[in-house]
Amino acid sequence: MKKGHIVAIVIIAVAIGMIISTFLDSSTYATFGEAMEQPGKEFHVSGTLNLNKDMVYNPEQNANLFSFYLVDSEGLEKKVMFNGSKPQDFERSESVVITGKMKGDAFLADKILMKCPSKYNDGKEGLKEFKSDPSASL
Amino acid sequence: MDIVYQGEHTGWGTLGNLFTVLSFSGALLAASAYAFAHQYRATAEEASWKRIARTGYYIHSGAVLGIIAVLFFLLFNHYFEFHYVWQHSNTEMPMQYILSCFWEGQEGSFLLWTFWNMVLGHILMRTARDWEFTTMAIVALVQAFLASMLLGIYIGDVHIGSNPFLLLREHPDFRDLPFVQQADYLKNLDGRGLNPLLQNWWMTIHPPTLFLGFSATLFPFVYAVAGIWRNELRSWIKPALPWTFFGISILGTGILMGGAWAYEALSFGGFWAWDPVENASLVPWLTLVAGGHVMLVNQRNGQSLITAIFLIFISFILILYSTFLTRSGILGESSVHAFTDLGMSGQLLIYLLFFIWLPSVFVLRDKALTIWLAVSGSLLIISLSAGFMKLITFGFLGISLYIMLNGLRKKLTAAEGPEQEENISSREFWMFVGALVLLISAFQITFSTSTPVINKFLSGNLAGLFAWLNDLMPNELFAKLAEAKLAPQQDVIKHYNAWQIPFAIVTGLLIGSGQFLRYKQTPKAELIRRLGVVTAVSLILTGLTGALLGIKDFMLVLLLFASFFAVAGNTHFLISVLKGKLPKAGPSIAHIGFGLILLGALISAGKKEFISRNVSAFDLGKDFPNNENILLARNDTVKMGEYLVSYRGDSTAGINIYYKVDYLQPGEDGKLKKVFSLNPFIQTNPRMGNVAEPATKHYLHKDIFTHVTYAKVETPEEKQKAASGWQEPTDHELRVGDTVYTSNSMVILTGINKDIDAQKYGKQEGDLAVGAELKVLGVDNDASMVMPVYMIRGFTTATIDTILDKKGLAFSLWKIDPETERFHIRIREKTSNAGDFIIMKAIIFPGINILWLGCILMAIGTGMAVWVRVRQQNRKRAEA
Repeated sequence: MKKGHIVAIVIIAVAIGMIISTFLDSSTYATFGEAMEQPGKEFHVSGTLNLNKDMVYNPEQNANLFSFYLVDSEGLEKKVMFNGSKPQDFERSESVVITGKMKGDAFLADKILMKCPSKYNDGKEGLKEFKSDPSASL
Repeated sequence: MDIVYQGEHTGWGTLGNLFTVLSFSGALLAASAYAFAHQYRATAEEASWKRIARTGYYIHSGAVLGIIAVLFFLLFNHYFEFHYVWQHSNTEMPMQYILSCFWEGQEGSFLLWTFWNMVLGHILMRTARDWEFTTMAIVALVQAFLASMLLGIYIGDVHIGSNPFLLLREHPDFRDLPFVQQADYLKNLDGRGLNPLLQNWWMTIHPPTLFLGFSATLFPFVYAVAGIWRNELRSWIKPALPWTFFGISILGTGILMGGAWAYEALSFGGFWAWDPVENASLVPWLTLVAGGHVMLVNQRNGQSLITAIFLIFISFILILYSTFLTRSGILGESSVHAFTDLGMSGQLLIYLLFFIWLPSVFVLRDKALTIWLAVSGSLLIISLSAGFMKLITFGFLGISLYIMLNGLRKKLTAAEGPEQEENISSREFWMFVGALVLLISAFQITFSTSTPVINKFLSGNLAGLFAWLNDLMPNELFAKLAEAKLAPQQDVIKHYNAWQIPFAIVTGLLIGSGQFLRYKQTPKAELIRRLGVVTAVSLILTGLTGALLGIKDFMLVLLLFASFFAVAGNTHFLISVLKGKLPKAGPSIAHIGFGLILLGALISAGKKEFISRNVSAFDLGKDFPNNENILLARNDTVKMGEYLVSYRGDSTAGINIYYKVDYLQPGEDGKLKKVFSLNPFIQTNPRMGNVAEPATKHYLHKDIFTHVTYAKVETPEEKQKAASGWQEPTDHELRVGDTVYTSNSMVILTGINKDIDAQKYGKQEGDLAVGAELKVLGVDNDASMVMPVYMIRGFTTATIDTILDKKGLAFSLWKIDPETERFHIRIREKTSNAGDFIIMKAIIFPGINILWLGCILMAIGTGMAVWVRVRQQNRKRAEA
């Protein structure tokens, strides 16, 4: 067997491994209903804020807890608990994508992606991301 | 009736449009004339075709400069009747950021890209000699595609390009608005301005460098394709080598500048976040590095030719793909900094597909070529009319690639027989392996970044196929594919690191040992001796550093070793083999730089520490394990890492609100001393709302990176109100010597003063007056004395309050209890005293300077390698 063949086989094996892992690692866009069917599993849920209900952020008590109500694309509303500080200008965002899982009747989010109103949105960077863990780099 | 608009400068727009059309037609003329010049080479017609081609390229070049000059002129003069000027600048903006306005929009950034291609094209024209016709034909073709992005022509419903000289009142978003129907609409019009986030020093140098890097990848590609065109599969490599390493150097620098910008100006909390846009520029760099190394291998042993061609080809294609990803709007919800869609995704896709298809035309001849042209033409028509049918598009891609690679293989075997086996102890074998590692690494990043594209591809028939497979064999993989709603990975960083760390380890080891291998074959004894030294040194360094920093994770220890190995190997090579000879030192220096980048990234990111731990007693519960935000009340002193920090208040400058935070440490006398202050700020960005920007204290061995994650941002009026209002007072009964605390101070009743200054307090004969002497101590031991007074005049009592403005405190003595000797003190605090706090994150990045040093060394090393190669070639030419 030629060395080239061995190299080729190794590469193909690694590539297949990578493809499968990418799919398995990737999260899924879902609604609250789907997230509730599989509590504890990570999902991306997008929706709009319910501005009529309270957004609670009491930094004096706990700077790392922020809660609000989100209505998903099917109109289902859930309380969202975000593990972090309240993102700047949160009220103004038109739609929000949250990453996290259902627990009980609340959605525990560890990442918030805000889509700003279109008047802010026509240059670069219309989206703002807030993570509970701003992990970086390699 | 037509409106006669006042104060417009539409003539400049017409001139700009003229240049746009000229630049497009000049490029087309040059491309076709160069192709004819190649066709009629060595005939009488050659010279005239060449003259036409060059003239075409000059026209194109002049027109590109013209477009740029007009656009700058419009920006400088604030001609807001032009949509681009209105959208990206305003009158208040500092002039030094006009450059950034220029390339903030898609049109401007395409223009920047066109400009660099054009400039480098002139260098190619002067240096390519007998390669000029074919290479320049392809360059001009690329320029024609880029120029078309600015045309802004409508053919039916399809529009080609987006015109930077479009008038505001003609823009689809504005033309129906009433205000543009007024003849004097320009009178009070100001532009929307440049996104303040981009008003940053790095943003004036990062885009030009990155786009120069993008442009540089075109030139090795052009040589490779020209090689196929001319059926000279080998000789293109030599002239293309300096271009390749020039590209590696500039593109690498541009990417790292982007990282530096993110680190300095964004609150990402790091220099690299595996964001799709960052990835999109990293991937072509990886394949270009791989391609450059395989080209070197081929120069030595004549092997791996197809791999070299493929890597160079794919680098350019990946640049186009990344352009497509970031500009077509397809990334949508998965990236924080993609351009918005200008409706040019179709055009970008055609651009991409065309250059994937082009080489396949050059490998075929005669009948096969005719058939393929017919097939691809009809595929294109079907695909376009049906809105880019996925399967046809991908089929087209696959067949083009297959034809190219298969054609190359046949040609090579016919000419030279099958490739030789390489010796396993040869340098070229391991360079080849290294290149493949980089290629898989690039593949992994591309694939993971492309989930939105994969969703598009899956949705429909293919998803149905996977749904059927999932019914047959239920498992998570098929279920996910069947839904076609893949979102980015749950933990993006972890996902990428899991794959990229092993690749980095292998790359580090190859870089460290590769230089000691000789071409063809290496004597074993010499190799073992040299590698032994390097391994021993690296082991010691790894042990020491690992123990010092407490790195325990097995993969990270391996990576630590690999990066030390890379640095030590090349340093050893530089000293003992090259004996410090500079002309040959380029590769070693670049490799040391790469090793240091790995080392710096590993240490700074792997051992970064959140010192802003929440110390409040409030239990966050195990669902919220991380508490990286700290609350700093104004003038309160809180322990954070090795510092005591104190938030001192905010100040406003322009649209930025700065939050001053002092960092204190106990001095030798035990007293707290200020070590430094940081001013992280919030930008009240009219485009994006409030954006937090970091402040970083740089030390040689570590950085302290801080940013405000939450603060009450008040308008000046709200602030005024808060400053004048008072909170509910608190009452205290104090005896001399007692202490009470306010939100920002400690108040001690030090004594009673019965000898009140009559004049100052308006005391009259017969009045009884007593003052309470209060000492107010701030957190940094700044003491003030205040004295509220209690007075009895006849049957009435009066209190004379004291206000201590700088602390926002008011004191009054309103009752004295003679029996218990208690003094009733009422303290009021300004509204602004309460709730004046910020929530902050502070991260220590140790050793991040190693990373920046590595970046600089890598840029210098690759730069040296290019310079040496260009000089060699010039000398050879001079001799010949």
